[in-house]
Amino acid sequence: MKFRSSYPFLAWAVRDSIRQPLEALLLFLSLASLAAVLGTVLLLSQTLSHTAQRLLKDAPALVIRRVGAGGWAPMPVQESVRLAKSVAGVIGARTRIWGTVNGPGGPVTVFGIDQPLERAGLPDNILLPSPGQAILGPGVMADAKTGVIKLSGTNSLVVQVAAVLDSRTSMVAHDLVLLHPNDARQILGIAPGYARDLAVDVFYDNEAEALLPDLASAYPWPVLLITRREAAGIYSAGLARRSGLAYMTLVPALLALAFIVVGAYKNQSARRYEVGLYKAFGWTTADIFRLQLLKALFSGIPAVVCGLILAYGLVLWPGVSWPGYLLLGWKQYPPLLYLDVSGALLVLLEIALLLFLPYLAAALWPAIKAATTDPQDFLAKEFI
Amino acid sequence: MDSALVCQDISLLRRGWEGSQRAVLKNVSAVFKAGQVAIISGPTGAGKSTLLHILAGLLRPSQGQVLADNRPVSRWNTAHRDRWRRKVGIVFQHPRLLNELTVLENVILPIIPRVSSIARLRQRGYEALESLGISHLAGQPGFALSGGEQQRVSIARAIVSQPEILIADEPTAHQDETGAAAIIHRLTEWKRPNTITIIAAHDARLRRHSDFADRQFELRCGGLKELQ
Amino acid sequence: MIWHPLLIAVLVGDLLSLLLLLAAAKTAFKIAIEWAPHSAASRQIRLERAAETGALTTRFALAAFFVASLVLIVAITNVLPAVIPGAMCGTGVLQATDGLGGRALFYRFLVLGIIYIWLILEKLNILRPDRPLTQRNARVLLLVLPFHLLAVSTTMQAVFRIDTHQPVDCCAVVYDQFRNLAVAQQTAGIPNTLWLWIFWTLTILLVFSGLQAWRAKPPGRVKAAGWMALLALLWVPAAAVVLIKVFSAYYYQVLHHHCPWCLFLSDHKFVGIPLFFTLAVVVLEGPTSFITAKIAVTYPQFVQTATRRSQIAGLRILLATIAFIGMVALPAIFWRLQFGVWIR
Repeated sequence: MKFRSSYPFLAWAVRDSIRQPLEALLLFLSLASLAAVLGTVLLLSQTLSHTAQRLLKDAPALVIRRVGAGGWAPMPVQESVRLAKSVAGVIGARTRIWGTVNGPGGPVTVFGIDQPLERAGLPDNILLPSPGQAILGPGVMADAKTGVIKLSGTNSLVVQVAAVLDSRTSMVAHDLVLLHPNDARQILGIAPGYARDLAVDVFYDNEAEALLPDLASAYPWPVLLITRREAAGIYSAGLARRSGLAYMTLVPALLALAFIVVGAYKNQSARRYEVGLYKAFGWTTADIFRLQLLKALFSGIPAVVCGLILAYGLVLWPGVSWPGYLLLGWKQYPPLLYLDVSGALLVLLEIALLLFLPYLAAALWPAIKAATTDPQDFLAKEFI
Repeated sequence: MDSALVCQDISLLRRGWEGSQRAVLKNVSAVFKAGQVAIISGPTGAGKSTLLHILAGLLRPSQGQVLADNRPVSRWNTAHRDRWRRKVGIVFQHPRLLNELTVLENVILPIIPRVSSIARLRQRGYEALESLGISHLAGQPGFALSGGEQQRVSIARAIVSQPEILIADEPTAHQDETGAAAIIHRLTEWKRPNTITIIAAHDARLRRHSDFADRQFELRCGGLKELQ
Repeated sequence: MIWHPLLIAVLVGDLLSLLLLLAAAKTAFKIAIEWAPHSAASRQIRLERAAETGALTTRFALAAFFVASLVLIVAITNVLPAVIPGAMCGTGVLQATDGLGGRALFYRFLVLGIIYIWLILEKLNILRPDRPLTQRNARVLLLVLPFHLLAVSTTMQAVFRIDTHQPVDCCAVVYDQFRNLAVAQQTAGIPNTLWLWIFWTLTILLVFSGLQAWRAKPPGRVKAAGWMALLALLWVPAAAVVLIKVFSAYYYQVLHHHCPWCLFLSDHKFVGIPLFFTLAVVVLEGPTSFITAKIAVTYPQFVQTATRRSQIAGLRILLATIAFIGMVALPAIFWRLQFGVWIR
């Protein structure tokens, strides 16, 4: 049976791979660590971007802010909503009250919620905050003894912590403090009947850009309009800037790959005398090709797989925090990442191919050279 | 018809210093028949090893051809020549063992692609070593052996595949009298109606055994002459 | 010119294959004029060695060119439409190349076809230790070279012509082909219904000739295989016409959308790949069947292997034809069963 005749061959390939065990171990460690480094960098950037895009899909199609002489200005709630809805293509508009204030441990984002729509995403066991209450994001530290939190914006306010969001919301709510809208207005210095900005939903997402001139002209005061696509672009650009340092690891990683490939090629070339010996004993080029292939698979695949598993764990383990330190600039209590795994397998496969194919080509080179060369040409190199 | 290995006007040119070409072999023709042992002798550098390598299919001549059973094997494409070489067992002038491997592993090298089980591989390896009285060395690494022992291992490696053509380059080199006698005895046993044995040798001990060599040749100045 | 990674990969692959092919062609030229298999002179020995290396080099050239062609098709069908403004499928991408893209693809398919024949002959050649087809194969390789040069240079020109600041209009290309419905319902002056009849007639003839070629023994096999090859070469354009003009409507569920490239989009489940793959099989295996049948007669040492290969070619044509029929007819039949009418 053909399969049975492969056993000695397979055993020989394994035996030949570990003839020089230290060399084999070094190769394993090199390939594995290279796979881990490349995998981590590429997987992190791809999954961060992918997850951000997915999360931003729930963002409003358009955000309108009023612009004043000193920067942004509050918008009258009723008039803003009415004017937005007067534009054809707009199917919904709601005002938002939010801003950045000082909290314990650093700046936090406060958000006033009272409208039923903004309940979307909150678990059913969490009630909307009443005046004097707050729902904290997982990264906001309250006073453990008293259970209160002091927030300082235009005005200061101490509120009672009613609930803390689950750590799995960390990617969107890490530094968030949800308040009653009156409390939010008080802290941010926004008068009653006014809001920070307007979130607009449109009938057809792709036509959001087309509505910009109509929306701008609907308002009697200057407004800044940001589409979801622009917001995603701003986010991606920010991510890309922060990832620049991570991408710099790609250059030495690719250099390391080149060294491994060259090393594999030189190693195999140095052993071309052995190829000559095999051929002298009746091994065909196909046999040698098979041997080299099995050796490369035996030494390369476990190394690459181990490295990629490590990369997968480093990036996609639920709640990893190290990217927050290294990439997102957090000094303490970084956000925990729960990244989207879809598409990760494809990225890992691409990395595996990027690493493995050049290595395989270098390993197979002697077999290819042996295809038309006389064995004596290889044997004569023994003493050189 | 008896099988035979035939050289037909074999010439080999080598590029020397300053780009000049030197003829190592010039129009060498000979017929080596099955069931016979042929010894090729000659001064050092005459081209004996080169001729053996050409006969074994390790090297292609610059001119002429090698015929095996009337087929021009030296002109075949590499894949077919590799398969034909399975019928050839070769003993090199230097043992050429792979030092990190054990003696048994070195011996079974030729038959790994052709044998279906590891147990059978080991059995044939042991049989080849036993026939030369060195089965006790099976587990030793190649570098731990003496020159004579290495040469005997390389002979075991050549005969493990039971070749139809045995080509040996100085098989009794580095051997004492006992070792040389054992090898000559083994090679004499190897003589069968369907095997061709060609040996390059300086060693007078080989020539002295009259029941061993059927024909003797001398290679000198690139030309081959049969001695009566 | 856009420096898209896929296009750069195509150009690199093409140049690599060209360099390899030129190296192989140098040997092929010497073989074509000096090959003397009965001589054991040094010149012939050197040529025999070079022939082996040349064959290996040609295989690498073929591999590089094939991969580059695949990458190019992927780029045209699914990657570049997102980059070129106004392009929705390969039609828009080719429009951006000012017609050079279509020409480049034609030359590429021609080169791949000829090299496929070379590969078939080479696979037969290496079965014999004396390689009796070497000189014949060398001539085939020399035939490939000018077309390969054309393919590479036209592809390069097409790639350089792409300008992402210049929008294209896919719909204009597809819908502006005809001024009225009467014109839409014909191709090259022949009504589409007549094309359908031609297609079905050729299909039946192809199937029958395939069965006959399968059963025939040499030398009668050559004639049967010859007829099958001719029918295959006639069948493919007819099949392409009815696919685009008639059956594609059942995939698009829109009448008169005569665009072959939209079949390669994810919206239509990339159905263009298997459809055009079956056409490629028929167009390649048709001549293969005839050529290998001829080899079986001309070279007695190949009678078994070449005959077998010819039979396999015939079988592949049959299977590809059946697969094509299934893929075009079934959606039409389902539509008819669902709505009670044909799309026309």
